[in-house]
Amino acid sequence: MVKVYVNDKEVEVGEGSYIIDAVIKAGYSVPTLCFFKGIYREASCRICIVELGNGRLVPACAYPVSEGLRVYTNTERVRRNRRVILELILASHKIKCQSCPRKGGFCQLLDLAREYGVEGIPVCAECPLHGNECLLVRGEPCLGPITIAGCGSPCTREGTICIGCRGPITRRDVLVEAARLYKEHKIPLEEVFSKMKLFWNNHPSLDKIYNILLETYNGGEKK
Amino acid sequence: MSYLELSERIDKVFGHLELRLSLRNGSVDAKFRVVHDMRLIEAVIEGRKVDEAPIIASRICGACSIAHFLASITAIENALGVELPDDIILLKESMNKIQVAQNNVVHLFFLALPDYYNARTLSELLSRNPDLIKVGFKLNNLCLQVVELLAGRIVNPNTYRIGGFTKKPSKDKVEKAVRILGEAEKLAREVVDHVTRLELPELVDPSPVYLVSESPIGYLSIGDYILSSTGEKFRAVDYPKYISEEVVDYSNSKVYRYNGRVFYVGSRARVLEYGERLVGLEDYVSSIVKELNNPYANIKAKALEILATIMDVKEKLDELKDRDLRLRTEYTIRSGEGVGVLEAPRGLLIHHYRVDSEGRVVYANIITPTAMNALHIEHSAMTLGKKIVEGELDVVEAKKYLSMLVRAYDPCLPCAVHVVVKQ
Repeated sequence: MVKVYVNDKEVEVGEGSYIIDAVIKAGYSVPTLCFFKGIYREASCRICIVELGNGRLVPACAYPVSEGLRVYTNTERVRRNRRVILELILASHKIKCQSCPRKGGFCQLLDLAREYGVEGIPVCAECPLHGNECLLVRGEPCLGPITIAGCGSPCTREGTICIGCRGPITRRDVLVEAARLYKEHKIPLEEVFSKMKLFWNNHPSLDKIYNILLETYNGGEKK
Repeated sequence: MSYLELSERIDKVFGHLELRLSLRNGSVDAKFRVVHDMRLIEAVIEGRKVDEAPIIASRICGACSIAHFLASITAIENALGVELPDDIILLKESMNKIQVAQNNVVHLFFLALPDYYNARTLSELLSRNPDLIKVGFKLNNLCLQVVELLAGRIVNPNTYRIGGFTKKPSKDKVEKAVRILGEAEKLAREVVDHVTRLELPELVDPSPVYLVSESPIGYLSIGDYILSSTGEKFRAVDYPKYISEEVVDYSNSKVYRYNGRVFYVGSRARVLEYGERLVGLEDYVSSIVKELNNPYANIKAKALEILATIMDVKEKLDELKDRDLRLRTEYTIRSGEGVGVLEAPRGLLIHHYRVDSEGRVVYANIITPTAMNALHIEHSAMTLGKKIVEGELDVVEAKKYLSMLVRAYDPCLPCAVHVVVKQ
């Protein structure tokens, strides 16, 4: 048996086990996405990083324990780095929520983004969970694709458009995807802009959002 | 008599206000100073699309967002000439009514009642009279649940857009609402029994003129006319001819006069005008109607309204739950002018918009009940002041009665501050 300290709490785990086993035994948790016990232990998503006593950040799912190892699961540094990792994962994710097989079920990525306050998941991600009809399809200037999720989409749930009260997403990839959606459903951008001014009139990135939407809407995707 | 000035910052009201009463050589003057910051919502609405105006208007007030939302949307529907089917009107009115009930509960229990038990705060009253306040909390909660079922959420409704409701309320939802209202009705009866027996400070309404929005059927329904206690009835669009507004230098709220007279809007006016229509509540109405020339009696009228609206909404919802509802109608954008009047929890509310041919609001005017009541509150306070001059009241008592008086009107200051001083 090996003695490990998780957040200064002493636990004993069998030799050859990994940090994640010790963490769970100590009663704490770390978020995981790619890890699947006994099947996948390649640490490719890195979301399970923890901080060691010597200040190193290591993935909990693939780092073996050693005698006297000190592990911290929830320091400020860990949370900051998890945030960056989430943003990186989301960078290649775009707005896929409408066609995601998890549609109608729960989404760990969405939960994590909400927990860590990562902007980049639009209201659209939560909207189909309530079995709503897409308002864009009806030709209404819904701000769902460019508004930060986390509200539980109360407006679209009742059949009114999202008016963006939670704030805009400023990430380029999301905006490009959103502009394509607006174009696909033939929604005039002026109407979208008009709605954007309801809550985002003084947002520092408003011009940037405008330009990205306009660029994509008018010229297709920029090479 | 020497100079005396009472300046009271009134607590337990929505927002910030100061009541200044000065007595000098036997003359009495009162100033209702709204010190809440200006909000200028009208200026924000001007230049927006018609469908955005109600969204902004509902943000005027967190307590009565539904009233502002509905008044705004009614004004725009009138401007665009939208003809609504009866089902929509019925549900729309139910939304307003249940919100009146909920607001009245909040006002009664959490703002007004502590005065009548010599408690300074709600928590003091809670420790002294827990059963009573628990009824208030329970009733508030039940009303909010129904608000949520009808309006989508507790503040800033999102089930209604120009031309009707976005979704049909499911049968489950309506049945749930009816069940909740049944429970609320029992509690409301207790409340009315209790409040109508309270003893009020004596005061005679100094200016017994009131305005109330027309209610074509029943109680608190939405009409196109404004009625006055002098027997006059005028179209809502003609309100500028009858109601004059004035900017005063001491307050951030405008003051209004009806045909040059100080007037009152609110629950008292509603019960006086439509009290006889409250079926099944005749005993209560007749027991309080004699007292209704006393501004303090507003709380009794409000208590009665809680029960009346809950019963009304329950009946209406029960009736429509098995019907196939037509809840959407088409409309086209055109230029026009429209006024929406309805009875908000605190009284008559007027929203007035002018729309251009592209569907933009080019002119907006919002007159809130508190602003209309400002002068009436001053006059009532002056009557109290005269009592001090005549020696019927001592100063310490007067201070207490002054704050009770203002709270009886239930002013909402964030709603009232829409002043623009034109240079």
